[in-house]
Amino acid sequence: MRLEYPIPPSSEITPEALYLSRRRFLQSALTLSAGIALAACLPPSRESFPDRAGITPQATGTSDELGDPLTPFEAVTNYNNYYEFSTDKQAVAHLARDFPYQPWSVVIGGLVHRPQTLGIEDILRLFPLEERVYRLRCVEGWSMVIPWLGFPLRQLLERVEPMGSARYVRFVAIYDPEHMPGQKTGLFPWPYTEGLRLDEAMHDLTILALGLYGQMLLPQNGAPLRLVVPWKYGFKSIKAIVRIELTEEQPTTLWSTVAPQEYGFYANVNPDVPHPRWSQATERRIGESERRPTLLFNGYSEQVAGLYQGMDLRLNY
Amino acid sequence: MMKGLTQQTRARGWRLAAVHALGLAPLFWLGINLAWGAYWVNPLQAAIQRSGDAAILLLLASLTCTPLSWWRGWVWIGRWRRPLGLYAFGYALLHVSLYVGVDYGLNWAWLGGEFGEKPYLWYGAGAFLILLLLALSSPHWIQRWLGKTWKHLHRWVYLGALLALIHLGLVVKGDPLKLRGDVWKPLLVGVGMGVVLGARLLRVVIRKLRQG
Repeated sequence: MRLEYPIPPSSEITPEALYLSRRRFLQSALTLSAGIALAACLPPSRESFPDRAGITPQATGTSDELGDPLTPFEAVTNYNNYYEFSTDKQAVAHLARDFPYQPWSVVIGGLVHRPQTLGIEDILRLFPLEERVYRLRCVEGWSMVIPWLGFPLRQLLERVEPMGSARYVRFVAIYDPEHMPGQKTGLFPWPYTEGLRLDEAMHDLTILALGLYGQMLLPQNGAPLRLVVPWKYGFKSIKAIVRIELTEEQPTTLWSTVAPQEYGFYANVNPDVPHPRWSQATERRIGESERRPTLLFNGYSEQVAGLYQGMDLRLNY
Repeated sequence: MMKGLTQQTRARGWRLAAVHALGLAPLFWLGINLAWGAYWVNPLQAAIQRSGDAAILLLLASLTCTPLSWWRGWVWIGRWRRPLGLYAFGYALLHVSLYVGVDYGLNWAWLGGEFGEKPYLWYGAGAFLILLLLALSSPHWIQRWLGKTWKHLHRWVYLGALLALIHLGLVVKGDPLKLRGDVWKPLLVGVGMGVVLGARLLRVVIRKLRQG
């Protein structure tokens, strides 16, 4: 099923291209699982990695629900804000090319009844992946349209059974300075951490992504597992997640620690809440020459505005 | 005698070439990277940022000439201040033109909104206006015409440099004063400006002490 928003009628059948891309995805996932099985007894080697070069990117959707075309695969995979590797967005892909993300497991704990540790292969087995075409709005004033492959975070959270006292979800990314040159500087409180309110995390638009353009995520896009919250600025969508915790207190996040006056906990895309540096009123869609107005909640108002009823969004930026 | 003069002329030629090489290097670098495709995803942002970097670095270079001439006794380097300052202005002009003319496409309503809410733009605009004034008054005949006023006018460069540094400090992602975030550029430029402006201050203080 093709999942753009608003949700399409159930009569819509799976298009062949997605069926094929899903099959290809599963194949590469199987290769991955085999690789993990091997890696258990062997030192990791390049051979156990799926052949990334041989896969052609393919998405089912060609545009978002507003009619704007997908950002080309080449741009999505070569323009990345990933300070663990570099502050130069076009340098990340090269620096991340040998980042080892297999094997990989995610610890899910905190205020839950069934804490567990899941390998990527478990996650692939437990949760069916679907394509979601989302706009990505970076706080720096540029944006993309990306066909993600993922599943609603809610499904994972329901599986671990949050306790009644849980009110927030905290995400922690990997700390691996040996392979992430940017983590060697003391200018950031590594590892990267992010957080959501539990109801935001349970929202159907919030997904954990393992792929884009019909193939597994590349390291520069947050392989093997990342968050995607399309109505918030891109930095909320934490990459390379190793731990998910449910908490009672609002978690601290990397950017709200580095510059609290600029980056709040909520970070909802909002053209009416100015940022001291970048325009939040307008944005540049990658590949377009002219700026365009930024939409409230990145165009997902209808789905998410209800989460913030009665809240002053200027104070809770 | 003849030989000495030729050598002097040759040295002057080399120095002239060096100062223009220094001034044109950022443009060359930007051009190569754009042509090579290093900035293909968002070339405009790269061009705006790199031209701004070049402007502030050349301004710093221009301000370094005077303390260098004191320290090393290089009288000739005093002649570099004008071309380096003019190159700095050239990059600042490119920086501002790209931002206003291309990025915002002369959309004054959008630009007005930006100026209304972002102090970093005011610091940048202030620095640019000072550089513009200094560039316009840089020809020798204007210098002669203005006499002593010219010297006073061109002391504004210190304020311009400070405004440009604040602009850079506000425009990076992080907090330079708390050493948090992507702040190495303003820190580097800040240290450089601290040294070259501090040297001037030190000299003034030492002179005062000797006189007193």
